[in-house]
Amino acid sequence: MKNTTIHFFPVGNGDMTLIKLATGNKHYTVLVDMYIRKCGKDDDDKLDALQALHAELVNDSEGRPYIDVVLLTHPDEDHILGFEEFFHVGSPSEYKKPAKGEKGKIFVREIWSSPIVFRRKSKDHSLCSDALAFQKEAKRRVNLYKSTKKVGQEGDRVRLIGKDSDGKTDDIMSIVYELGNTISRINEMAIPGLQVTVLGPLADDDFSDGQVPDKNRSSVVLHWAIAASGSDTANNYVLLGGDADVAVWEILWSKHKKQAANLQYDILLAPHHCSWHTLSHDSRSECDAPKVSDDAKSALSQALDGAVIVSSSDPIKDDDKDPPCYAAKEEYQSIVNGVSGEFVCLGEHKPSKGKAPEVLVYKLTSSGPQADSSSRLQEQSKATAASGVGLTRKPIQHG
Amino acid sequence: MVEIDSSVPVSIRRAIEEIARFPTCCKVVGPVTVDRDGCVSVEAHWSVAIPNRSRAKGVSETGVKNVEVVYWDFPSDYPSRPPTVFLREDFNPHLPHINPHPTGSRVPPCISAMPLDDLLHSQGLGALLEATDEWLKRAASNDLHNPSQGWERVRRDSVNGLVLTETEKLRSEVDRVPRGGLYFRFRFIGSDSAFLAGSVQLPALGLSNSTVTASKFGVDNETGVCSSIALMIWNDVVCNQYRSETVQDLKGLRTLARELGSAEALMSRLHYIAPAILAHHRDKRHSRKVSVIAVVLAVRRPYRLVGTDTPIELIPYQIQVSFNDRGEISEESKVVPFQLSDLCSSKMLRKVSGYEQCPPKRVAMLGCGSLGSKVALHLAKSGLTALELVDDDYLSPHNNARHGLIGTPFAGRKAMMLKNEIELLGVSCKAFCRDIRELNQPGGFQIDSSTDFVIDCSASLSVRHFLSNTSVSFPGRLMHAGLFGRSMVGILAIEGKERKVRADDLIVHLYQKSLTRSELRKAVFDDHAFDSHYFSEGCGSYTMQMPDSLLSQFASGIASHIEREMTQGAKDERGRILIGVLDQPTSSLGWERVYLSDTTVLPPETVPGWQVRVLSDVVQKIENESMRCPKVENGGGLVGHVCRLSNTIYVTGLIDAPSDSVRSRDKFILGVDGLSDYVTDVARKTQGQLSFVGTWHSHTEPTPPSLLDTGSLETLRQSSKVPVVMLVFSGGRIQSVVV
Repeated sequence: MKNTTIHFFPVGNGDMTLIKLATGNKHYTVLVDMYIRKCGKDDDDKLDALQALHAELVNDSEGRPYIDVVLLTHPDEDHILGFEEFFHVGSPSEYKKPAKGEKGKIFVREIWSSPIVFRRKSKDHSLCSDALAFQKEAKRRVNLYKSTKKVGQEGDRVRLIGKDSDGKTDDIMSIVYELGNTISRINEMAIPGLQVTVLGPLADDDFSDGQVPDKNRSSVVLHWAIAASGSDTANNYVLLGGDADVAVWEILWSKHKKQAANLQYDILLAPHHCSWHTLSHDSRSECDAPKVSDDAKSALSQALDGAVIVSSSDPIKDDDKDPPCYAAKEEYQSIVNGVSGEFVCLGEHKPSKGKAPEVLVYKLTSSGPQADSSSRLQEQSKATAASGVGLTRKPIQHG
Repeated sequence: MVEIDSSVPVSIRRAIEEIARFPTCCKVVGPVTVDRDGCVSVEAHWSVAIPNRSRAKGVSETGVKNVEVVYWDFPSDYPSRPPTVFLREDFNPHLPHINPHPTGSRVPPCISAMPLDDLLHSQGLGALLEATDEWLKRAASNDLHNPSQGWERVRRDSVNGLVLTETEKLRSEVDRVPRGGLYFRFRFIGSDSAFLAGSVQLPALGLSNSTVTASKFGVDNETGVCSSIALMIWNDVVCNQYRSETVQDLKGLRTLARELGSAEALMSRLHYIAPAILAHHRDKRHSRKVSVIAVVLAVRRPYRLVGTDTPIELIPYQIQVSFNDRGEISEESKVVPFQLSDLCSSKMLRKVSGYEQCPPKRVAMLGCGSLGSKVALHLAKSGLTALELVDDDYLSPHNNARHGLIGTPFAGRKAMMLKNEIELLGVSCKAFCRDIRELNQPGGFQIDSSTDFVIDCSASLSVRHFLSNTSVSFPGRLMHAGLFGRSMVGILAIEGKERKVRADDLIVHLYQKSLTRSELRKAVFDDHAFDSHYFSEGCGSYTMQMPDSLLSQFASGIASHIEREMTQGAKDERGRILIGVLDQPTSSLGWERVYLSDTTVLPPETVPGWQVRVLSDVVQKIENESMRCPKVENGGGLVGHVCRLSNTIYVTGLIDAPSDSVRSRDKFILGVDGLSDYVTDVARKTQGQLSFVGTWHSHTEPTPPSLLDTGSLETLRQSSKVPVVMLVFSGGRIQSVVV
């Protein structure tokens, strides 16, 4: 039987999270952001994120490795690096078979994007080439929908998270998940028990300071309620907020404090790689006594018993660096301490005590998330198999 | 490193070291020593990833600790036998996938669906360690059973009895009505304490308490079979509490029924049953008394049971009824769980055979001799078929050497005996102890009109003649199976759609094939294969000598080809013949398959009084030869089989034109060099079954047969003792020359 799992890839100061939803003995995969750096010979202290990702994927009937949904929370390089090179863009019919010995490009069946892809370039909104490639692909799919007025085949599908403030999504509202909506379908497939609530991007007029929201402010924030494999009752809560900053979390608290369950989590990905600016308006270099925003911290404190806060960042040292910020880590640590939980920095996650950090995996069970060591056990088995013992299988006869 | 006593065998020592190295094993408690029986019990501390929410408490909601003790009990002969895994005595026993064990003893988790000795020897000790680790993690997250895997049935540490019934029908009663109770006849063998073997019989007696009378109880003095009643009760409550079996007496059963919401129903029914049993006990006509009744609690689970598509669990018990002073069934009456198993059915057989997805077919089996009986048994056991058996013969003692059945001292009819056997499988079967040639004849017998396949295993030439050449009509596709030459060659001929290629066409094609294949020829035209053998007074039995082992090899091959036909092949409209040839030194059986398209039947005036059938491969070859040099006429001789009983000429092959033949734009003259020798050789090789049956030639222009052609044909006919055919390939098609 297949398990439902969540995988946090240690990719330095970047985000890359894979959710594998098991239902009907099949996995439906959702990749939230990516930061795929190339790994050379001297990079043995880094995880080979591409290889680690491929290890979790299967090929479709056409032999293409695929992901059901790729979600980009916001178009910054540390959330989209590698898209152009390692993912197929363009019409599904243009998919090129890989050369022998090479990995095929990953086929994305459905894209989830914020409407920021419609924004014109501005000084606040310059895009790296991967983000441009993602934007182009998302637009291709949106335009296809506009012309055909129907959800396309796999590889042409797109959903927008949030309505565009300038009315650019008005004619395609049937593929828009609006603020407050609950998503229960992955690539057009209803997943039992899945309830993904759209908490962000917030609308421009949610912000009182009159600033045009920057990329971080327009980050997609999703609250994931996920059922265990085979169950149809969600009992695992995951909060993924991209790089949403302090202003976003303050607003979310004011909106949801009466219904704090909307923000409850077993696993929180510390926004913006454990940045101080998620928790405070004050600059640590310019301010003598930078103050933590109570509202933002409250929004991020709805931790269930045993909750884990994951910092997708380099190792966190007690220095002035930000992100990751040591003071922010201490704030998160105080949150998890209150619920006998755990703070895990992915850059420091080396359970096998090797040089490179390892993927952090949780199995999502009917009793909530559970640390999953099976991938580690398999790695070990593979190692022993390579040495000539273990993991062999003698054929069993029938009498 | 763990301290291990020097007396511990080296294989176990290595295993302990492997356990200690396992990533989630925190430590192995030493010193490890050998106990009196030579066994070694290893205590290992295991770190269990319990769900995050329970980590503060250090113990999961299901009672699994973050560090569990795992006992590995190695037998003295490890690795011949695998170690047994145990957990602490107070481990939560109410989890699924725990092996039966006495209450209060160490708890043995069931870590693998595969037997542990197979797992050990197939994948090594590491697989057992991983399976244990996975089991503990799933136990911690209450994930040992779940909807996609299915609900684990109540764990019963001891059952005393096996009762067969049609569980699907019992469940359909539960599906039909939200709550209720039903009585059934319950027949069994076995006394109060002995193993009980029985059956719950359908259809139900009814739901009314008045059906329970003293007459329902009794013992058949001859067979010892006891009659009693079974009661099934159910309600509309969905019960999602997993529990292991604890019921030992009626008090316990009532407690369980209360949990399931059926206590009142159970007790009120027992209230009606008690007087009937008492009356039976008081009846002096019965020397032996029955005190056992069966109770089946049908429970609705939140999702389907493991390995089924139903959420209804049937939990069966036998109550050994005793009475208190007031004449009521005593609370102390012993209650013993028994196992309820499905009666054999074609659905079950299909599942075990891997044919679940295939709809069953109707088969008429003509001939129930050695080959027919074995093929019929294979087909019945596949669950794929409902059968009609036709054979008028008796099973004689000498048939036992190879027949699928074993005869009794009283010779029975083959078809009837086979039917009786097949019906035990729960497969629908009908027998006609009739001559096959009465099929669909006036005063004869009729097979089912929806028959899909008619299989002729009679090995009777007259039956073959009957099926091919008389005007008999029957439903379904005809297959013909048979063996040649003491089981050196076996065939299965499958007719084309609407009989456009017939079994007799396919068999003469085999004759033609054997011209160039000596191994086929030796078997097909072995005139020593049959002989008379005397097993009784009077006439001998004309049969082929061969051992059962050889015949079975062909029977199973033929049956599996038929099964493939039923599950995959029916769409192909062509006729085909499967030819199996035995390689004697290795006893290996090789099968080849030849397809034939529609046979060309020439107009009746071709040879008056005769039917001429040209096999499709002959037509194809003539076309190819004619088209090779379209500017000159080409031609040659024809080989075929002449059946004088049905007046049929089968054209089966071509003879190359002799070297002195003349080919020109408007003429083909068949030469004579070597022709006579060739034709003689053909006849000799096939014992005269194949012979010269005529000639063919092509026309370069699309003109009909010429005067010259008819003249030549007349000359040919006059010099030949058999009817002769002349074929002309003209205008892209075969035409026959008519005088």
